[in-house]
Amino acid sequence: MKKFNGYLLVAPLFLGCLIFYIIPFFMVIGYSFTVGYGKSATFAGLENYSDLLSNDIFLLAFGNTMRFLAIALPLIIVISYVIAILLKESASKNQFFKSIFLLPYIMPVAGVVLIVELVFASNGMINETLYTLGLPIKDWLYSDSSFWVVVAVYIWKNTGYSTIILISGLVTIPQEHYDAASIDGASHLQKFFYVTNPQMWSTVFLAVVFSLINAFKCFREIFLIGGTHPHDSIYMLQHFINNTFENMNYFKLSTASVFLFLVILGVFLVFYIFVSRRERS
Amino acid sequence: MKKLFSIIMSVAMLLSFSACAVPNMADTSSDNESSTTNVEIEQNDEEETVTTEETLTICIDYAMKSEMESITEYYSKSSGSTINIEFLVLSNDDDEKELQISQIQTEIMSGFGPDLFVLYSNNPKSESQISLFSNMDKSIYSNIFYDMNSLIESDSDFDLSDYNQTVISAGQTDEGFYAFPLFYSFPTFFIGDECEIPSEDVNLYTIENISDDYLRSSFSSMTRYYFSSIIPQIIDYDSEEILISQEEFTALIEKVQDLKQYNMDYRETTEEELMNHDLDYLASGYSIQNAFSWCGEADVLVPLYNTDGSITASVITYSAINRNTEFCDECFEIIKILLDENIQAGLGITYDEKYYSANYYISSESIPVNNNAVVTMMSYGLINSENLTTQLLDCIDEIEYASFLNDIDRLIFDSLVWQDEVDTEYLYKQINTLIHE
Repeated sequence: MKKFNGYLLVAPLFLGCLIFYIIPFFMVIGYSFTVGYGKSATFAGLENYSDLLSNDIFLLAFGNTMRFLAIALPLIIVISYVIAILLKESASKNQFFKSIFLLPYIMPVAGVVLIVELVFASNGMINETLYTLGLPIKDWLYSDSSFWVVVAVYIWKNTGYSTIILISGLVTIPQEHYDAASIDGASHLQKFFYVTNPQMWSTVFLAVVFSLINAFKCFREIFLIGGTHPHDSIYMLQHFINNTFENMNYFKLSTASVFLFLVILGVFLVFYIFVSRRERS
Repeated sequence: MKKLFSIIMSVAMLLSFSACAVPNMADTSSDNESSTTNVEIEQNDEEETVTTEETLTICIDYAMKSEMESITEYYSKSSGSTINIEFLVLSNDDDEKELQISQIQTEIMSGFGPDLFVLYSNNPKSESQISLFSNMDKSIYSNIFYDMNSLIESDSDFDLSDYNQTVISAGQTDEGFYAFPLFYSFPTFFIGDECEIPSEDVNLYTIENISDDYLRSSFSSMTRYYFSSIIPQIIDYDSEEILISQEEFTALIEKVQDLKQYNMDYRETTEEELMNHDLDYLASGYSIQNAFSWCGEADVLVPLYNTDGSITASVITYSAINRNTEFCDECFEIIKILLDENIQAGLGITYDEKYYSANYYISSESIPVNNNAVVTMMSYGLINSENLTTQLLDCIDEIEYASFLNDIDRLIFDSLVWQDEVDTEYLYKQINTLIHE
């Protein structure tokens, strides 16, 4: 009986996951192979997938999401890593900065959007400054520039969180390793590549996972900035899925969700394999 | 294998977490309201009606409530049906309606939801900004509705040729008959003695040839409110394609903008007393009885033709059956009553010495899809004019394309009516996005 105690303890959590995540997840996969709803649903094979792959707007949304992840994810990890190392070096002196970096993360979405509007709107601070300097002004939120505005907002808002995760990894590296490297005559760069980095992969992996979650959360800001149909450059998969829901096209929605899942699975696997190999080596 | 499974499970959970982070857009505007707001369901519980446990739910717009109660009561009495009929009435208040719609959408996608829908199209001119089916032209391809072909074919009393064939084709696809239009309209002016009648058919490109200034200005104004009527067909929903190029679309929008400018200049420079008042019009959202009540016997009906020289009609009210309903036969019987000549003409029906009304909201809004009802309606009350009836029937014969009013009409309407300058490239892209979502 004693050996089942552990299972009993995790049973409520497992049941919750089963009912609210795992079963719905497999149901979505099932829906992606059907057309119709409820008892009138019929098996459609891969028709939904082929339809979706020939849907220009889905491809636009998919492309934008991939572009956003490909640019924003590495950027936020690099920036957070640099900040984490700098803060760790002088951790005792810079407690205040740690809090400052986290402030944007806890800021309500409405506040973030208000700041974006103040800075980037057609009559916002940037355009007013450009106008004062006699330079051409630009519609930052409804042009190709909106993509970079969204990347900037994402990095500004989430860097603090990733930084805290990375600092928690950095402080677990024993000081003796750095001291030994110093005795061997290692430079700062060598210490980073041969002492810090090899011991940080699992923490970096964790930071990537949370940054990925935050990247999808960023849709709230994009929605409040651009509405259900923002500029083409920031029309993401979540817009497509949400608008498809409004149009009650469940099978299209499910198929797009499966694609989104496959993308995240792909990103996850790539990082997981990369980190596993690094850790093993 | 174990590791791979655990990764897949983690990603599934990650996806779920990120999905939880995505706000339901329908709820964002009403965060302060209770998330448990229930859809208002009103029961048609006439004291004498014997009902069973079975309940047929009809989703209707608020304005139809009293008429639909009367019509379904007639249905229960005349058919002897013991099915309990409930109404799911969409609110007049858009915030509340948004919550109702969100709940109904979820129910439909779960394989449930109302059995029958009797709703107005997404009319850009209506006060309500949202509709349950924002684009019925697209929804009929979404496997939401029951194919009525089998019901029509098996009913020997039902003669499809009684109805305007072009207009009812709006609810059909190659695969089935998914929505039955009830009322429709097209933009038309009634021109009295004081105006000079145009010498040629009026379309987007001949408006500037109209000699009467006031009439020219009025037609110019009409084009921006009824853009979908100035062209035969802009979208093929089957192939999900826009049928005109961006250049053609830009040219059309620019032409409408020029006419808008002419209309505004005319209104600014012309004194009110010089404007001719002997002009009324029939168009989507207007009561045909109200429009005709101002007409004189000698009035001439001048429609706005599309660029192909025919008339494009817009479906204003429609009915459709939920594909998952248990009561498709009963729903079709109710639709048949809605299509009845006397109901469509607004006269109502007397049964067992009781009168069941069907006037303003259901029957008189625009033109009945039942051709016989058009003649009946025109021969009663204020409209009694043989001359106008003949002219209206001639116009109806010229309808060559019909579609539901939808979110794309609303998008174009908002751009043309409320914006000084229209970014046609952006508008064209938006239309393309709406088709594909």
